[in-house]
Amino acid sequence: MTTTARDVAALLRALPDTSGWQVVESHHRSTQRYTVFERDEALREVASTKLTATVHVRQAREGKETLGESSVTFSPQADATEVRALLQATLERARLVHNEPYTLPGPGEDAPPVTTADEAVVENARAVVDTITHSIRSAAAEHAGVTLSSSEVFADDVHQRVLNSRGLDVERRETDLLVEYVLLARDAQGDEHEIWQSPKARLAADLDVAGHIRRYVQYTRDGLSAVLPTSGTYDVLFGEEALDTLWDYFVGQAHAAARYEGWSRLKPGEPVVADLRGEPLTLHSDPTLPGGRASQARDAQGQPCRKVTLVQDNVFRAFVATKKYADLTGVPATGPMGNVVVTAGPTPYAKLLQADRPVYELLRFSQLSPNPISGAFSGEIRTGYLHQDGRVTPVRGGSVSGNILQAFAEARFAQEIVRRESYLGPRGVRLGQVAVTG
Amino acid sequence: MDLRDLTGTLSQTVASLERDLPYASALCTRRSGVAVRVTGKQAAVEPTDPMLGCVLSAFTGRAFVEVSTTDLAPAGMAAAAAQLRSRALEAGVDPHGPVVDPGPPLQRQWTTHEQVPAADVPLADKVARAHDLRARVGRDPRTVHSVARIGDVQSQELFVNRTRTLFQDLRRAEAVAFLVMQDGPNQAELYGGRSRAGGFEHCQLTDALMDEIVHDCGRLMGAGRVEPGLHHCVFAPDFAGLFAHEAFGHGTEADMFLKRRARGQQYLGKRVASDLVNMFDSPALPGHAATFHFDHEGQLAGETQIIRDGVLLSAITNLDAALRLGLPRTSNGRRESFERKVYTRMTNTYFGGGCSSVEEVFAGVDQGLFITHGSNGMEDPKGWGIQCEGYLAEEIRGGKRTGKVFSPVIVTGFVPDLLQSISAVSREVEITGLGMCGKGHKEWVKVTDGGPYLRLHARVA
Repeated sequence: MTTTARDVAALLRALPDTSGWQVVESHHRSTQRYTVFERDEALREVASTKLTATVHVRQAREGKETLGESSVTFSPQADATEVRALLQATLERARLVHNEPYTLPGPGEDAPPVTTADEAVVENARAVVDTITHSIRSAAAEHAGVTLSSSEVFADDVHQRVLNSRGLDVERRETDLLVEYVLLARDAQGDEHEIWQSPKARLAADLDVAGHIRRYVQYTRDGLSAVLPTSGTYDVLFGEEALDTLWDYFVGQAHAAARYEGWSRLKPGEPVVADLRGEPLTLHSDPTLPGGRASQARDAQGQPCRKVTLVQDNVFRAFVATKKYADLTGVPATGPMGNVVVTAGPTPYAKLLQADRPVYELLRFSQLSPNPISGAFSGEIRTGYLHQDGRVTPVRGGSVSGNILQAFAEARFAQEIVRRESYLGPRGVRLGQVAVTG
Repeated sequence: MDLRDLTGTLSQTVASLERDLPYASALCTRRSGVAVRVTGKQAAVEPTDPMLGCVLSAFTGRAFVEVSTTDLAPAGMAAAAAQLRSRALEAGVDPHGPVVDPGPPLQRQWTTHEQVPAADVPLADKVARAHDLRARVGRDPRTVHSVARIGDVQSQELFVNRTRTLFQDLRRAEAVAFLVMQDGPNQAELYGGRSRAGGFEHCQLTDALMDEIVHDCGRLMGAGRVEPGLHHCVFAPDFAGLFAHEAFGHGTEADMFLKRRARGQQYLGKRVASDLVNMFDSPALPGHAATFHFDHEGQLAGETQIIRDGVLLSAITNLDAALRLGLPRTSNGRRESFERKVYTRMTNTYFGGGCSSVEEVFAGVDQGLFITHGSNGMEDPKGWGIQCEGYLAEEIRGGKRTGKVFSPVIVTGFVPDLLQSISAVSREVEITGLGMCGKGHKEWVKVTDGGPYLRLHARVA
């Protein structure tokens, strides 16, 4: 006999003094396969179920109405007596909190149709994992001088049911495929170089392992003759992996939580980048891209997710807001940030690399995470190319650093569109005023 | 439920699995605790990432096969064991494969001492403490956002194999303060705090630390970037710890050796650093946030000296890597949770102290940078590249800090070049406990790192 979300909902209804509640029943299955060279290192199966209940209580402090809230997570093996005690303790915790009131999402609002689960993973995750593992081995074997060192393939299936006191009763299902592979390539001196990659997708059809490996083998081969970059301030074309995080400053600033907490500098109707000399940025949050890793029909509270334009032609338009922060800041509820969608520019990628001065094309970093508060960014270069006087020289090592607000003042966006795990937009973005250190 | 009540079930399950399989073990874990987070606008009093589950493991002579479950009822455990047996037999048993040593017989349990047991402190007092911390960190009028978080974590772990029944009840507590300041167009953020094994006594930050966070955050606003290039540097203990972790922590994880992913494998017994350098990993270090008594494969905690007088001495291992490489087992087999696989992981990792005073470390720098408030880093054990980022670099002239600051700062370079350039090491070691460590970009475990003040030559931007 196990406890379900409905059972917990019944107990929450009977709990005195609550003004609202939510229950989430989560079922997580994961099939995992790990290889080291030719052998399997580990084979794993995971099945976990948990229930999370959130309790809201309306109270008053200093003449103002406040909201107390807290949550608890427990196993479905907990019986009614145990759950009752856990909920009572949660209510006591909630009473210690005095936040501004907001309400949970209600029923009645339709969610957009979004594909977030791969039926093949739901029905036979092990077969999917074995197929991907085999495709990694086959793809690696196609490249002379390249050895597959190791791989990890996870197929996850999360199924949730969300109920709340406003009558919401919805289900969410998401699959996730996580792949890690490490290839070893030898240079002319016999030294080995590593290619570590971690592609991810919701749907197996979106995992082009062979194409991925082909591209990264080429980067690694180019890297065998790479030199340190020359220190100075340059135009830098960011592409490939850099596109996954280059927008972090705008995304962080555009969340209604940042506005509520007081650290967002963005104001609707005002320019995002001052003194713009390049092309204006247009950036959307789109949770409806089929298979996008940030796609979801409803968020963790059951709120339908909507596409929203954050920045249009360098002017800030709207915040992304969960139901809570929508209530607290007076903006429409959109759900959390979806996939980053950026409008392309007029110039072909290749042309952005042609200039009367050197241009660095930087594709991979140890880590590139623009600070969402200050806009500062830094990253050690893993794969890059110097384009100068018609010559292309691979570079590796050293670092790039700058500030997003200054760098985007001279932005130019490539014409070609690429899709990545949670990004759809130009294949490259050329920024100015970027310091390169060799 | 007391996890120890499962000992009989787990012992029977392990014995049953070993009728068909060469080696089996079980690990049950439970995490609980409370975290209080307060900002200028709202508060949260929530359980600390609660978790309860079990992983059953078997070694077939070829591979490890595991089943993880949250269903700890007898029927649930029996179903998990049946699934494991079936999957392992299907994968195939190799009777001539490596043999796992289950260790000498041992039944033991440990509990972390708390001076002030966190569970005995009324929640209202914890909330008041968090509000007090936030008020102290947010006192500067230029503050636009400030956060205080205090929390306690109880991790109970029960490990059973054919010879061992080990139970540990680990308690950890922490306090963290974070703030964002704005002055005109300039914004800056900074955080600080502590995390230690023990109880509520650690949910407090000293006035000196709070003053430093507020003062340094103010200095970061409008700070320029460092002139990129090679600089003489002094690393503060926190930044030295980040450097230790990224430089030769990841580089000596023996599961990386198995995959030929770490160049350090070819350098065991060879010089990789200046002879002033000593480096350790030890989950047995008393009182630290990544301290434990046995790892997730039942290996008792002990110290590993990784670098001795500049020579790479030892790797850290988990069971699989030690078994296949013939290396000594160390207590570094760790999982993110019962849902994830064991890897070789760091614990408390730090550079050992030297023989210089802090003043002597600085005195050797005529013109350079003092780097502190480390934020994050990334390893490259195969290429021996490194990236360590920090919030603050302060100019040094004539061996003295001038007050001129730069932010943020990134140190990159070739690990042996950096380690060989270390020319002074201060006596006292400081270890900070706010860190978490990933393997690649996942598998997060609690770690600490630290060291003394280091003087060296580095590429900084």
